[in-house]
Amino acid sequence: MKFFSTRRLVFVIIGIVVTVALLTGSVLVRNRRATPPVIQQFGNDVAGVVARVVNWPVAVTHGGYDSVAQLLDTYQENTQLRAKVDALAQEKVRAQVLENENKSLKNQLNLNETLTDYSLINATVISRAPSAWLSQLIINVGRNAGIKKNMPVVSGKGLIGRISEVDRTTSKVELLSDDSGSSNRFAIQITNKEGEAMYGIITGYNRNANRLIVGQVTSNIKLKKGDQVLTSGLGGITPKGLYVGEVDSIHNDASGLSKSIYIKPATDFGNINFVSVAIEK
Amino acid sequence: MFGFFNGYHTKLKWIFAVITFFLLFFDGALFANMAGFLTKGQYHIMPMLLVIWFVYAVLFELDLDLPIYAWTLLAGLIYDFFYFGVIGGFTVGLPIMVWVSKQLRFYLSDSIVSLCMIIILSITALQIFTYVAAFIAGLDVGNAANYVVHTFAPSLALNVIVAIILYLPFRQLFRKLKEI
Repeated sequence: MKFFSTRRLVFVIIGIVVTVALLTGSVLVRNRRATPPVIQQFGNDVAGVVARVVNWPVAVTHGGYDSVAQLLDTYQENTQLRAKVDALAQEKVRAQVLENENKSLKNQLNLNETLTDYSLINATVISRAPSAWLSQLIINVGRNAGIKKNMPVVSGKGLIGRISEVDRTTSKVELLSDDSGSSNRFAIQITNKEGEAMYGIITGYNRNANRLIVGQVTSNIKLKKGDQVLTSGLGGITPKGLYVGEVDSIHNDASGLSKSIYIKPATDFGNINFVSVAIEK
Repeated sequence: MFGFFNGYHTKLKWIFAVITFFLLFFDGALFANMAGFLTKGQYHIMPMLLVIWFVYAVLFELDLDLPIYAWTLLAGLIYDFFYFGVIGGFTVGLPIMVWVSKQLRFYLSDSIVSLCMIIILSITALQIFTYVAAFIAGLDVGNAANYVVHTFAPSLALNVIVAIILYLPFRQLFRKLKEI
């Protein structure tokens, strides 16, 4: 029997056409619309409930294992932390004083809202897409909690990605490490030791080295390894002042006209159990 | 409807459905909680228990009693909706994989080595399809060699080991279910 009888060939061709249409269509919808189609949202919300139930025992087991592992180096860590807590108390008081001063100065200038005003919504990671190129996190808050597409998401020390899809009670977070090429364009600023600021956009991610890349930099401001990188709050939905990471190295582009800055991200993209979504006020 | 739950072996059909959905979400829960270990550097080692489940369902001839293609289509659709928001990779990939394992079932003997062969080839078929699908969808898949070294090979290794461990429990389970 021939493998491709006429009938089978027709089925295969129709199958290929339908598959390509599904793929490209769903990517278009995903990129253009603020929320997915109703049927998809409904499906995801129901699936979200089941995922929460399934995730619970796994998370408890993982938590238990982590606790035991951490217990082993608790003593050493405790000594270090105690020293840090003393210093932190001072910093906290100072931050409070500065915050109050900032507020009163803003009042005098009639500045009600600036780019640094944001609030955080906390969420738990209930699942993670098993994929190498779209390793999205699924979190347990959605449109009901005020989440919107493209909002920045932070975890642990710093920025980890942005909301890529919003359903009623769940959302998906596209990680900076995914570099899907479509939307991970965060506006950032890097301030050097002299207080000079350089502005740029995260243009990519180097998987080999686990570094974020700020490309096409033409500024002449001198940066050093360890300079801190924050979101700049320019151009849209991301507030100012979310910690991204620190400068790791600076490379000249082949043309010699511009530079690329490699940034060491603040957060480990592997271990993320809880996240916060930053909402601009 | 479509013979999902009615007719003979209703218990088998219900339990098959429950385990299918459990594993669908268990894959993600496992990956979320063990990502620190499973995604080191460039490596992405993916747990694919749902895939192993479907391959075993074919190998133990469950497709004679229940509509396996309809189940793969449904599970694939939910998988794509819930995890990616891009439809196609698993919706079409899972039925293709089941078709591959069905074809191979007739050629290979009952030993553990041929079992491993079927699992390896089925997972390979699925992985190749999802790679091509992601490429068509315009996602940044990186180059193929990198994918093979850092994602495909380690995932395959992990899943073959898991499949071998699960062989006896699954065989027992399917035998029991077929009796009732």
